[in-house]
Amino acid sequence: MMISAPTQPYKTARPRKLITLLACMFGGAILAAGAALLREAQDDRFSSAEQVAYLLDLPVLASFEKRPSRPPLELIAFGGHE
Amino acid sequence: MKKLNFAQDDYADLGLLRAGLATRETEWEVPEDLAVVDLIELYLEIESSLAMERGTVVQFIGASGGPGSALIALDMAWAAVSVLGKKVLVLNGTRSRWTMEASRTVAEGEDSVHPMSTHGDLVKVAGHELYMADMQNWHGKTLSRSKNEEISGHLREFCLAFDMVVVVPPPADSDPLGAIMARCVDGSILVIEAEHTRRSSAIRLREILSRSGRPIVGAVLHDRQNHIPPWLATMM
Repeated sequence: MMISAPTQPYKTARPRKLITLLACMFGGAILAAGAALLREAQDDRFSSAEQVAYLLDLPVLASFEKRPSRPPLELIAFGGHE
Repeated sequence: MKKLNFAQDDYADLGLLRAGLATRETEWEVPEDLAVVDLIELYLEIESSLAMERGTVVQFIGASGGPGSALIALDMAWAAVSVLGKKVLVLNGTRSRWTMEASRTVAEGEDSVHPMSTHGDLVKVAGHELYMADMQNWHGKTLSRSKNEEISGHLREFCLAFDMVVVVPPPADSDPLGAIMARCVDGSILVIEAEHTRRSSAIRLREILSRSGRPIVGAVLHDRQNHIPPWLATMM
C-alpha cells in the first residue's frame, strides 16, 4: 500500500556546495600562502634595497628600476645603434 | 702585459691625452627614462665619501653576471659629465670590447683582427668629457705583485687627468680582476642585480673586498622590479 508518492527534496543534501566552496577557498588560500612563504624562504636572491642593506651591512647608494632592454654596450660605444 | 696606448703614436704617453688628443669620437644616445637625478646623487655620494684631493678611482663590481655594473658606470659617468661638467674615464675590464670596431681594424691583406688595435684604445663621447677605454690586456692569469703595481701606476696617472676614473671589472664569480683592482682603487661599489645575484655570492664578495683594505662605498641595486601593481601600490 502506498501512502503518498515520493517527491523531490527541496534542496540537495549532499554535496553541501557552499560549505565545500568556502572550505576549498580557505584551503587554497592557506596552501598558496604556504607555497609563497616556502619559495620566499628558499630564494637566495636579492629583490629589494632593504635586503641589500640588511644582509651586506652596506649603505644602498642607489636603486634603479628595471627598464626596457638597451642595445649591447659595444654598439652603444660605437654609436652604431638606431 | 700590454700597457694601454692612449694615443695614435705607439710611443706617445698620457701627456697627449691630457692635451685633449683622443683616438676616436662617438655619438652617445641617452635613454629618455634615464634616472639622471639618482645618477648624479650617486656620483656626488661617491665623491663625498672618498673625498680625494685628486681624481677619484672607483670600481663598480658585480657579484654575478649581468650588465648592471657597466650600465650604471656609464650612465653615472654620462650624468656627471653632462650635468656637472666633470671629466670621467670609464675603464672596461669586461670581456666585451667597447673601443675596437672589428670592421675598422682589420688591416688590408689580413683576415684576422689584432687583439689590441692602437687606433681603437680610447673613445671619447662627442661633445662631452666622457672617455672609455678597454683594459682586457692589462691583466694576466696571475695575481703578481708587479702587475698590481703597474695597474696602480696607470690609475694614479689617470687621476691627474680626470675627476673620476670608473673601473668596470668582470663579474667577481667568473674573474679575479675585481678582487685585484680592489687594492688599486680608492673604493669599490658593489652592484647587485635584482632577482639574479645570489646572497651568498654578494656576501662572499663583500668579504673579499673588505680584505683589500680599501673602503666599500656602498651597494647599488640594479634592475629592481616592482611586483606590486601600480594601482595597488597607490591604494597602499
